Amino acid sequence: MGDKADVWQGTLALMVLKTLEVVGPSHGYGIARRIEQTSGNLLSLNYGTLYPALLKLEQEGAISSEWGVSENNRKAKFYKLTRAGRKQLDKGARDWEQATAILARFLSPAEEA
Amino acid sequence: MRKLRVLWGRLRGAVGATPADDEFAAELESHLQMHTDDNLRSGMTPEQARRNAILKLGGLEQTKQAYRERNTIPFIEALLSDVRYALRQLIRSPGFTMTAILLITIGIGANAAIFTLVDFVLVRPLPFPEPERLVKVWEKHPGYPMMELSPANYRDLKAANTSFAALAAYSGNSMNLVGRGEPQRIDGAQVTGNLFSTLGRPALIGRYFSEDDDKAGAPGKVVLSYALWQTEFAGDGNVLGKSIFLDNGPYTVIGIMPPDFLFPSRETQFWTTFKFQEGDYQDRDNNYLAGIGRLKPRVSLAKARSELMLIAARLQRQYPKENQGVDVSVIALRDELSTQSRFLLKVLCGAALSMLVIACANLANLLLTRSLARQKELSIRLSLGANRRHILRQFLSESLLLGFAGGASAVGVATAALPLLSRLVPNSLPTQQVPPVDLRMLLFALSLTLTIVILFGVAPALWACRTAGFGGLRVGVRTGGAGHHRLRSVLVMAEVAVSVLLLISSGLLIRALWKVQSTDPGFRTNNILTLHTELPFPKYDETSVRAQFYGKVLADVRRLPGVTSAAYITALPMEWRGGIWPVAVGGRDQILTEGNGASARFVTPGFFSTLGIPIQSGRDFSETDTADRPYVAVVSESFVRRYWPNEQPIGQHFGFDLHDREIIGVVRDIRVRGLERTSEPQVYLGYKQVPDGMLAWYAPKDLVIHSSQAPQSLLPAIRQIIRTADADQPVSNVRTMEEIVGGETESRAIQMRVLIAFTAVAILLAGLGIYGLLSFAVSMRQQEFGIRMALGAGQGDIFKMVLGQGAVLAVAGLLPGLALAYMAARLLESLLAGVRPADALTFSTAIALCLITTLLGSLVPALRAVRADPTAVMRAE
Repeated sequence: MGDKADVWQGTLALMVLKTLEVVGPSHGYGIARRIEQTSGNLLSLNYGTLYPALLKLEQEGAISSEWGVSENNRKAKFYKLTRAGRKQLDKGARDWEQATAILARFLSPAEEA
Repeated sequence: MRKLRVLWGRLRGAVGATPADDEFAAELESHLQMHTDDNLRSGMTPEQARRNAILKLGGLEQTKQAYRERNTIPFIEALLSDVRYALRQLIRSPGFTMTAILLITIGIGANAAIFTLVDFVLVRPLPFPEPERLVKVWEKHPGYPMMELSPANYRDLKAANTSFAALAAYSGNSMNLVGRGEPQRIDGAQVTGNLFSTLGRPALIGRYFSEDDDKAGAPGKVVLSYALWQTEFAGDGNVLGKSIFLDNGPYTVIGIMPPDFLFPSRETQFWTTFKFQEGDYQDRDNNYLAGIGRLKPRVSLAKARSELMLIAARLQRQYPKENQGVDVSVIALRDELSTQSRFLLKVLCGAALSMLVIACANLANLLLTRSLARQKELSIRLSLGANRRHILRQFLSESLLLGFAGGASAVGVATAALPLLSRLVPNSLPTQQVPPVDLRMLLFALSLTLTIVILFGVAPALWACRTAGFGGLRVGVRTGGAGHHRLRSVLVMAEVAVSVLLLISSGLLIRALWKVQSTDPGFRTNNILTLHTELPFPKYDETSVRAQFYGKVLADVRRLPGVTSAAYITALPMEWRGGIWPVAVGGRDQILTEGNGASARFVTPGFFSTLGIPIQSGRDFSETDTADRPYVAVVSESFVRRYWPNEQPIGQHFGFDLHDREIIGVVRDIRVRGLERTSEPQVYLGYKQVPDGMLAWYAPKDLVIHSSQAPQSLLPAIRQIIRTADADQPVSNVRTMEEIVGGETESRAIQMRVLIAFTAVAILLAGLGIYGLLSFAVSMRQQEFGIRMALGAGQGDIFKMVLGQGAVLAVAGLLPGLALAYMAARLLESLLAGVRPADALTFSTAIALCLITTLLGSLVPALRAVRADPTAVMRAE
């Protein structure tokens, strides 16, 4: 497990939002599994750290939650994206792309010089 | 916005408004089940599946904790739990808690109340714009530093000065309000046209006077006070422009002043203008105007004073006869309080501060004891790994709780006490009587309390944290630390010293009060009823018309059952201290100088017998002492002593009020100027010997009745008699002579009561302080006593030892206390009415009281020490 990357500070929220956008309403366990899968199992994620992040997003109004029944007939709390959450996701994604693009220019071998 | 929402959510979480914990537990449980299901499906055993799920979660409790921290605000949650813990601690020791809160209440409450009062009376700006520019202007005559201005001198000072933006004048003037049901006597003031603009407060409704309203011959106009407008006109705005009848003349109401415009005094209900005519400026010796001016910006009081003094000097040269020796006094309006009322208040401040010292010392001792008793607990907790910051936070929460509880109850006490103290606000102050509770004062009191409780509640804990640990455990509680004991002894000594100071100061003031109260006023006070019937002019201009009224009223009153005698006088002694006229003996000029003033009163026959003033020689006035007969006078013994010490006074002549008077009788002196001041010699004049229309102000207006029964029961009959004599004549100021003389000592008596209360509490606290210290010391030394007794010490020895310790404390506090008290007594000397500052009786009583208190305080601990069972005590640790 030691060679897997930890989740970068602040990116977990973005991942949660994106996941909810792609798969629709989902419970915490589902989100956690999905994030792991999407990362190609490269991320090491303590599932427990997901819940404070979910709570924060809910407090911010980006997601809302309600109790429902899972695919395997278990009672579970489902989270779904709100309109504010969608906006936050768009903005977060844009910021992230910009940041990576800038970093990429620094890190990629210089072409003109 | 988003942050606010988050904060709101977390706050709700912190106070438990969201059922977060249970719900999250359920959510986690469902998470674990789903994960376990998946793990089972991938072939794990049930135990493995569950363990793996928990492992992957990162721990159940850790997750819950992380979630909770996100859901609430950790700091607030910790604070709330600290407060809850502190509350439990305080409730567990109710004795300590109640005592501490009581101490804070006493110390802070008393101070907040007294200082609010003092700030209100002595410091706070008066309710006028730029009040620091307002000054009072008086004439200064030899022997009389503050005398009213004569209209002529007022006019000259006003015209010649360059220091004042405006100089105005007023004079108290009560009038009969008639034509609205029962006639009433109401207090008001005559003012110059510029008085209101000088003071600078606009009218609430309508307008105030202009200079035109003050011109000779201008129609009568009146401005009403808010209080009169409310009581008499029910706050009806339509009263503007209407006419009211004052002393039979119509006055048009032109304005209403705001409720807090109380000038020149709280009693003032209305204002009219003087409308001076040329004739009013003739007599430079007729002093009845109080001058008030507004300094020009950037003109100092000193500069204005020196300018007016220059003008006064010029007037002296210009009118050498009338203005002989006449100077001016210029005083800031704020400072125009009698030195005595100032001093009374300052003494109370001193007493309140002393109380604060005692209460704080006691509180400090209490908190120290508590922290000492908990030192062992602290040591154990620290050595078991408790967090120091956490322990300090707990002590802090306890202190804060105590401080807030005590502060709150102190505010309650101060609020309740203020109306009781308000009678110490001098009447002459143009402000409301009951000071509003001062917010700054409350904040100050609160911060003071918090400082004390934090200082003495947390500092010991801090100290304990530093020294505790294993060391603290080893030393144990028994010794309690020598440094602590010394500090606590000093605190108790300070308490004793300050309570001795309070005991002696209030003892001296009690003696002074007794002395003043036992002063013989020179006249009878019991079973005397007095009331005002102030006759209006010009209706009663003619002396004979007035005489008719007096004659009718007196004849009827004397016929009432129980009435032994009745008479009229210009003004009652102690009620009015003015009316000092110059006496001319041997053809000298009648100019008031330091040595020739005498109090002048017109009386009807029978006045002396009514008030029980003995006639030493000669005779009383009679109804035949009329204006067409030789003018006569009855004088007091001191008058005779001054002018004819070795001669027969009857038949002597002197000049008074521009007439030659012959002495027909000599009476004993009375205290005209109050119980605490000697008076000028008294001259009484017959009520019929005054020219028509002259000396209207001196026309007798106070009816004095002596009866064999309680005088109040006669009042309805007397009112009926006066109504029959003149239906428009109001009756006012109904009082007994006892009330009037009692009023002389009222502010002293109130101050006294406050001081006695303070002193009683102080001595009680000092006793408790000794008790607390000795009890603690005894409980710490039980083992030592046990050993001593096992080695053969008798119970008496132990008893004496503890009592001796108490006595040492008492004497150590007593000595500096006596020194302090003597210094304070020297400062108080002007209030002591002749009681010596080193009054032996007071000092010895105080010492005895202090020793008794000490004895009582040491007795219980001493008995407890004696009862110690050597074997039991030694086995205890």
